[in-house]
Amino acid sequence: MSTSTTTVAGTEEHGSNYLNAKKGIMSWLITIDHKRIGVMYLAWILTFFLAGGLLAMAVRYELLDPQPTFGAEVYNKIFTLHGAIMVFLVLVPAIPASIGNFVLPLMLGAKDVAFPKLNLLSFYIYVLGSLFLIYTLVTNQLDTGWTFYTPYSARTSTAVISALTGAFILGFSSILTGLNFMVTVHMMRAPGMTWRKMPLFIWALYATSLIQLLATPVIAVTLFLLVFERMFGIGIFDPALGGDPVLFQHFFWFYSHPVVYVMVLPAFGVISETVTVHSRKHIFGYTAIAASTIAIAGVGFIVWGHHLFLSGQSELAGAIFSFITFGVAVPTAIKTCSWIATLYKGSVRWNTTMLYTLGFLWIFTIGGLTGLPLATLATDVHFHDTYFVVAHFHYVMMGGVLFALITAIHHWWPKMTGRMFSEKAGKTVFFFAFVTYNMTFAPQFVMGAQGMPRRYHEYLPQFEIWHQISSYASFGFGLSLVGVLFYLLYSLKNGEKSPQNPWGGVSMEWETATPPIEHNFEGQPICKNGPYDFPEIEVDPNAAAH
Amino acid sequence: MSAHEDQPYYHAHHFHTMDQQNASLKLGMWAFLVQELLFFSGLFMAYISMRFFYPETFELVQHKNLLSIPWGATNTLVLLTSSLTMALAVRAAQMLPMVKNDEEKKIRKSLMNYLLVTCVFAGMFLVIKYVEYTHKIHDGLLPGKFYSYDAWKAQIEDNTFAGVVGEGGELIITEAPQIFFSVYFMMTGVHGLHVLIGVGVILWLYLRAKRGEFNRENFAAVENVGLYWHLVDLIWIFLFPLLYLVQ
Amino acid sequence: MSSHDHAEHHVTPLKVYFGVYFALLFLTIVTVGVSYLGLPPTLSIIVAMVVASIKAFLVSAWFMHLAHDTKFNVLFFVASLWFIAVFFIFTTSDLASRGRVMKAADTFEYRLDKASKAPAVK
Repeated sequence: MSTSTTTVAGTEEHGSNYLNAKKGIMSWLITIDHKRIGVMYLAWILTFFLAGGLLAMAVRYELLDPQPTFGAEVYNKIFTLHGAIMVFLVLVPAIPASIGNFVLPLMLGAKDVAFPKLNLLSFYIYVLGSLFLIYTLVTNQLDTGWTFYTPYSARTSTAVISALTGAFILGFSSILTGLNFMVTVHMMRAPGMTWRKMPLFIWALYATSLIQLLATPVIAVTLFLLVFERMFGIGIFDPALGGDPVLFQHFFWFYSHPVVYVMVLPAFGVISETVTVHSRKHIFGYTAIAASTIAIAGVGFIVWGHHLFLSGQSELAGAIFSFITFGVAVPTAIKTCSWIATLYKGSVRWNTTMLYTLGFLWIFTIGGLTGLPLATLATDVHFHDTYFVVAHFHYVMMGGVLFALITAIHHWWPKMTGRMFSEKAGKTVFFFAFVTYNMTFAPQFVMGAQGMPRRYHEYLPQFEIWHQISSYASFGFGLSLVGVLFYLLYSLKNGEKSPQNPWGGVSMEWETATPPIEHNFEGQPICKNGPYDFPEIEVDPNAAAH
Repeated sequence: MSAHEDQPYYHAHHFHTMDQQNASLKLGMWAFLVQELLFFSGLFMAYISMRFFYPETFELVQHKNLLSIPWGATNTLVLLTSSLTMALAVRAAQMLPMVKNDEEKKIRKSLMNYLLVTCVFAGMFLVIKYVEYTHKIHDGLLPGKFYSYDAWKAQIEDNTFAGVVGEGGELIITEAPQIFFSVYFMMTGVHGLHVLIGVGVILWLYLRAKRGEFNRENFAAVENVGLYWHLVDLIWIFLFPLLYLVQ
Repeated sequence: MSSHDHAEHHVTPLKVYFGVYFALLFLTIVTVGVSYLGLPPTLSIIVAMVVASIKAFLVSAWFMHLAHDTKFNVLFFVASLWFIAVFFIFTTSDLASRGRVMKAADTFEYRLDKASKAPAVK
């Protein structure tokens, strides 16, 4: 089973790993080790997740009763900042920048990414962008919605320009990370690792990188033009100045639709890894999943108009976009069915990681399926800008991406920290999290279908019961996330030391020491088996290649 | 453990061979160029949309030569020449011998000269742009809300643009030259910024060349900056006819 | 990766560089000259873009060495043009087809309405 030609040192003998190889805060601040950079990203991302989450609690608190609590102006700022922080600071880098950075070179059998210094620069650009958003928070905030629609965003007196600048800078971080990963996958795979022997997580990160490179510059130029619309009144987006507000939406969503695939494709990649390792079974349909990953990335670029159905876009364009949007559901369904087929007759391990994986499958399926009535013109007329949309994207983004992030953190926790967390705590918190998550967002589908509009702070009394269920459940869900953080941090000091390969994975990251040594491998490992070729599976040489 | 000891200083440790390093750097540069292209495509889309909404304005601006074709054409020739000299610089770097002998000194001198000449041409481009911009500022032909009222009123009175002056002194027109000039300044401004950055980077290459850092195995920096420079030229190749020529 | 990227090893002859350069100069003169012919706008744009595309091809193939580079770099560069085309075509198709079903939604017609007030400048 072992594929490396040189010895791999375990933690006991070696004593030194990437965490303690160099000491002191400066060694972290100027590190070019992808593993340390990934850990630093994770810390920042989770900090902003906390900030965005507190804002979410404030949103839900306002909505506990139909009468205003904070009032319209403040509420507009709260949900806008919640959205902007969650999208730009959390969801976009969530899996690629933290877990991806840590795992990608290990999985490829490489010593680091192609451009390690650029990697550190990406991190600092991310930090810089986040400072602009913090500045926005503490000065005049933002009330345009995270989507910055014109003409309001061109005219409002809140701190729009600093927010736009922050998002622009964050975009650069995303672009450079994508560039780095793409070149790494092309150029630094271990000898013997053909494209078809790459783990599916790598395929996912690769497709994500392509989207980051192609789509992010367009939002950069959009935000740039909006800044100049505000400063110079250039007149391309604001009708009072001769512009077209729907044009802004085209520009904005050309990026913002592919970006949801930047968020979710790495999540899919994580699930491909955990569903195989924790059921000791080869992935069902490797080629189909790899191909559908690239297909989703490609098709994701030609569906953005489904956000513009009710904006004043032409009916012809609407019909075209609707038709193509149905198409993007196909590769996604292929993946979901393949994961379930992987579990079938597998040796399923009912641990925390598998529970979160199953939770993802449930949540993402609901999220994905509810996208279909939104893709359909006739029904979207009723659902657009209601809580149905809010529930849909929280199911795919929050439930989907977040649950996958939690899955990834648990799956690679031993590798990153050298410790095992408490399975008992993990499973208990999982059930609580899963139930409260669904109770938070499922009622929102009901409300939305009954007409509850989004971004409203006061509402008709008939929605009160649904809002109350949703709000109280959301507080519970927030607590469960705190619980996850707690038992994970607890394990850092008190968890039992992890063996080198606690889950029995056969992809290359499990061949390194746990935690890995600073340059990952001693010498250059060779890739001999596929990433899901568990040794107890007998491969019939006459069977079709997986 | 791979043979780090006899690797030259410019061979990074995580790459096995210089070939792998150079191929990676080049692929990375192409990825960067792709994203630059997509960035500019947003500006071109803004042009397309505004031209679509205000066709007469765009035609009239070009018809009445509010932008100077001679300056624009000169800038095109200047930039194309700088592209040639940059390509020749890359060629020189490609031929630099590994040993620091007399031939190396000669080729290195020509590399430095080509880089410097490229900067000179780039500087010319920026000077011409500066001249054009100051003319526009002087005539009040500025983007959006800064477009001069007097210039506009004068343009209506001499029938450059159709329109009337309303009772309240406001201009009632159907053309929107202020939008044309918004697009003009946005596009040429962002492009000009890229030229300026290019000058800085090429000067950095010049200093590195002077220190003898390059040879025929290690010239990826020159080649990749060259790629960037050619992209800047490519953008202008499309910018020039769209803004100055098409009527 | 074991495949050799030959661009570093292939030195383009000087005459190729100068040939491309003079072709570019020539095409620039052509495109400026054509603009004085007073062609109708649509034709004028098409001619200008065709000439620009030829110039772009020359610059990318020989100045940027794509003619001698690995296929993937070429593919990647060309692929980006596809995505740009998608952006242009889909967005323009929206701009051009408004008002097909409902006249009142046609923002383009609205702008051509001579009686409407355009943005005022003070």
